[in-house]
Amino acid sequence: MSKETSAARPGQRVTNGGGAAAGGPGKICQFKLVLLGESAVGKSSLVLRFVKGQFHEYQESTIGAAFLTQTVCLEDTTVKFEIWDTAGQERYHSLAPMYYRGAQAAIVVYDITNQDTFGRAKTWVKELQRQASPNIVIALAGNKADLANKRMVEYEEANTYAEENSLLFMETSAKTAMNVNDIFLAIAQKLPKNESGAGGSGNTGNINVGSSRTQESSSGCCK
Amino acid sequence: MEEETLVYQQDEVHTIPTSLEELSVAGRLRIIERRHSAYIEWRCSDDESNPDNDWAVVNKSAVTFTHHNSSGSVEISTPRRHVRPISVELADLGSYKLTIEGSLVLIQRDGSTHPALQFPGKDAEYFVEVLSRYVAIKRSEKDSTLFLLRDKKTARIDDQLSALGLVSHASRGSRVRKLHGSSSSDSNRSRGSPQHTSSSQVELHSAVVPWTTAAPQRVMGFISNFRRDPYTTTLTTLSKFYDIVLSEDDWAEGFVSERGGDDLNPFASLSGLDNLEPGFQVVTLKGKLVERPRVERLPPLTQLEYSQHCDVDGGVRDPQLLKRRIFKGGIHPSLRSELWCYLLGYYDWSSSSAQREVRRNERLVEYQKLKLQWSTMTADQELRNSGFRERKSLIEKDVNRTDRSHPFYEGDDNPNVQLLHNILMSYVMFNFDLGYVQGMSDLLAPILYVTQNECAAFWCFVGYIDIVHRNFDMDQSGMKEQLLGLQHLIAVIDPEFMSYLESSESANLYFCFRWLLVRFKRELSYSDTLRLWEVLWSQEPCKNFHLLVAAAILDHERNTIMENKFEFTEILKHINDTSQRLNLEELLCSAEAIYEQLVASSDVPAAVLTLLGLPLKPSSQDGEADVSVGELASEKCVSTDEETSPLESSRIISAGPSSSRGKKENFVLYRRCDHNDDDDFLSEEDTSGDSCGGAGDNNASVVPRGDTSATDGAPRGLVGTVTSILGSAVRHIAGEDASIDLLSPISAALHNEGLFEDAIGQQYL
Repeated sequence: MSKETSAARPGQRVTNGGGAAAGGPGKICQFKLVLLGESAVGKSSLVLRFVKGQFHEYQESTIGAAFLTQTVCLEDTTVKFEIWDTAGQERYHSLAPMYYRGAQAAIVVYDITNQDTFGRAKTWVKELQRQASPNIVIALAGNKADLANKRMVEYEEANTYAEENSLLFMETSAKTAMNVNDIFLAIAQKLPKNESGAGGSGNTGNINVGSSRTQESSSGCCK
Repeated sequence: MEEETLVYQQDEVHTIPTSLEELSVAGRLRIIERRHSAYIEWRCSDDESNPDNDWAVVNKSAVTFTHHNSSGSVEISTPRRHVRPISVELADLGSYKLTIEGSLVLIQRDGSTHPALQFPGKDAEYFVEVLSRYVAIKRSEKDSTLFLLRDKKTARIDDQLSALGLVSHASRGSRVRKLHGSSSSDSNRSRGSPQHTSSSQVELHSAVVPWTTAAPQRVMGFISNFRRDPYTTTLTTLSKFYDIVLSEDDWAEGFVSERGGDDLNPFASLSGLDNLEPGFQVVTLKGKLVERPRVERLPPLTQLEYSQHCDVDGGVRDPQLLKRRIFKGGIHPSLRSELWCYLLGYYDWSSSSAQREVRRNERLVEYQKLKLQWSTMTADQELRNSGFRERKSLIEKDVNRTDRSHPFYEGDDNPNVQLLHNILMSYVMFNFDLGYVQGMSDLLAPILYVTQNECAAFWCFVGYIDIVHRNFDMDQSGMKEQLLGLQHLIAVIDPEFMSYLESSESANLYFCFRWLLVRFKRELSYSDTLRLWEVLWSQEPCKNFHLLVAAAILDHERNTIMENKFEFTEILKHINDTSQRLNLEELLCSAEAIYEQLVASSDVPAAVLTLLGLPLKPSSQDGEADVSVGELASEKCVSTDEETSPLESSRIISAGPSSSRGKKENFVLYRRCDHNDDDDFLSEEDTSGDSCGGAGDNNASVVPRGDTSATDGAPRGLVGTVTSILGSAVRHIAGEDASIDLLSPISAALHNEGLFEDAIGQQYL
């Protein structure tokens, strides 16, 4: 009955093609994911589409940060994303490390209709490679793919860049929901899920922003 | 199609409007069993026919809107936001708030907080009954409207354990009672549920067991645990002590941590270590704050009343008096566009009507010049001006998504959006260095809406940015200072909560960032934003009143945060979710009450007085009780030099009245700063406490006071610190309770044998 293409409803899990066991998957992993990218490329819209299945044409700018959670069911694992959505403007750049520290995954977003935002995305990737957890899974999202007639960044260009830097890459559209769940699912699949770490997602998984134990949080994935 | 069992259904459950302009929406509340889980769901009645329509693209307001802006009254009505259905799996539900008026707020374990719902006939009894078939429900001891949910199995185990008497709920309860009477706000007062309050407090009271009867067992337990596992035991004890020390009167009531059930788990004490590690947030006051007074607000200033403030030429006779009046009640919408021009410095208070006319004309010319500067820039020029291009691009991105659901700005090609753009671009030319920073468009939009005049809006905006320009500092130092100021405030008005925030690594209060940056605009409805801003612009009754408003919101949320054991992420989510749900008049009352409380209290730290621009008061000379805490502070400082100490990165960020004045310190505040300096952005500057209105210039790295043995002694690190803190605690309790005999074994263990340090040194460090 549910719409295959659009995002999950609140309270409903995003499932990966019916692989979830009837009794619920055994292993629950919790990951911290951060969204980075130039202002107004659609970071909040991607999250809102993924978490609440909604899209606002005039999504207001993010001030400070927003935090949302969403759960994704893979074949044998339930992946719970703790998603940090950040403010994009350069002025607030100094706050970013607070968010990507300890993150096991990041989506760096650019706007396919704006070449500058792609350049900025590359800077973010560099910064993450240099300063974030060494094993961080980085995905590059070329958002606003529905505006193909205004395209300024070619798919091939971004794809080549992503391959060179071992990034996941998809062009997405928060507006049409194109590839939104897919990119999160791809990340969920790529994230290491230690055998030993199976357990509840309850009270153990908080990754504290103020914490200095970067190593600890980056190495462990399953709580 | 999934199989569903309907367990509970109630129609006519309404959303509760948070402001006059919002409409209540009826819906159906249900509890449903689906697969192996139960869900609580609420859905707007209109959506029933087409369950999928809430997934459509949401970009328009759902409700009609009236807006008259002739010279007469302005009736503002902003659209109610799209009413989203609620669906919560019971396993994810951490607590709920339910008042006796039958309003229900569901709060998830991850901090998500749903909009309030109103039961018909104020009766939620059956709902609670059905709910209790699935989960164990426990009323919060601190807030009679808050109910905490637990898994039934866990609850049973907990109950069995507590039946063994390992944790004294009684003493916790009585402690709560005291806090209610003093610094913490009594939510019952505002919620109006006196029956609940009294009954729960009577229960608690009857169950109080004097600390002394339980003391021997506790002490013996401590000793035996200590021999078995000194590290864990000490830290457990310390963490409990740490909670208690903040409220000295409660000492006699036992070593009972606030963290409740965690006490039963020996490994939970390792989270006690976490609590300790981030550093201390120790605030001692010689006396408690006086009780918070009840504050009444006035209706908005009307045209008639305003005319009485004006002289024949149209000037304001006593601006101070008028500002005070605006502070107390705000301004009637019909008067806003005029009075905002005074509040924001576009007009002088004393100016006559004729002078203002002249002023308007001058300013119009000036504005036109600024506007020409950017509007005549050619594309070619722009190419060579990256600074300009950058600012322009930011503005274009932001005006396009500022308040677009508000009727004044909604719809494609809305001319008012263009006005926002023009004003911001002109501001770039007015102050190119500051330029445009995200958040500014939020500050401008309501001003343009109120003034309905591009030029007036520009100059009012200039006045507003003059007030808040530090919010947009390149290095965020203005924001850091405000957050630190807020820390100081919370530490004084609610040390227990500050201690909780510290232990959950949230003491940076970063979750308040958005509040402060755009002055609560994202948290309030449009009309409330206008009201709050004019109140803040009155600059009455003190400086930085917006921080008192922030403190008032936190005060309102503190029980929910603490009892749900929310940590940083959950707090942020919860706080972001309280957006659009605040009762502004209530908040302004409590903010003012906090102000009155601080003014009336004699031992308010200088940092806070300075922050609010209040005169420093001489602090009294007595205060035996804070001696041990002083030692604690000193030890803490010593450990900052200790290489191996996990506490080493602590720094003093603020101190109370300076020691050079020969006064005893009564306020010491510490914060952790990590080595990795990206820890949080507050930690970058040592002295930011100072600039934020801290205790003056001599806020050096030396401990302001305390016993000299601590300051001149060799660094002792964690072990020394812990030992000394426990020693202090023991001495203090002994002094207070005359139960020195009972406690001497601890002292002996700590001081004589060196057992402690050896054990830790050899085995655990």
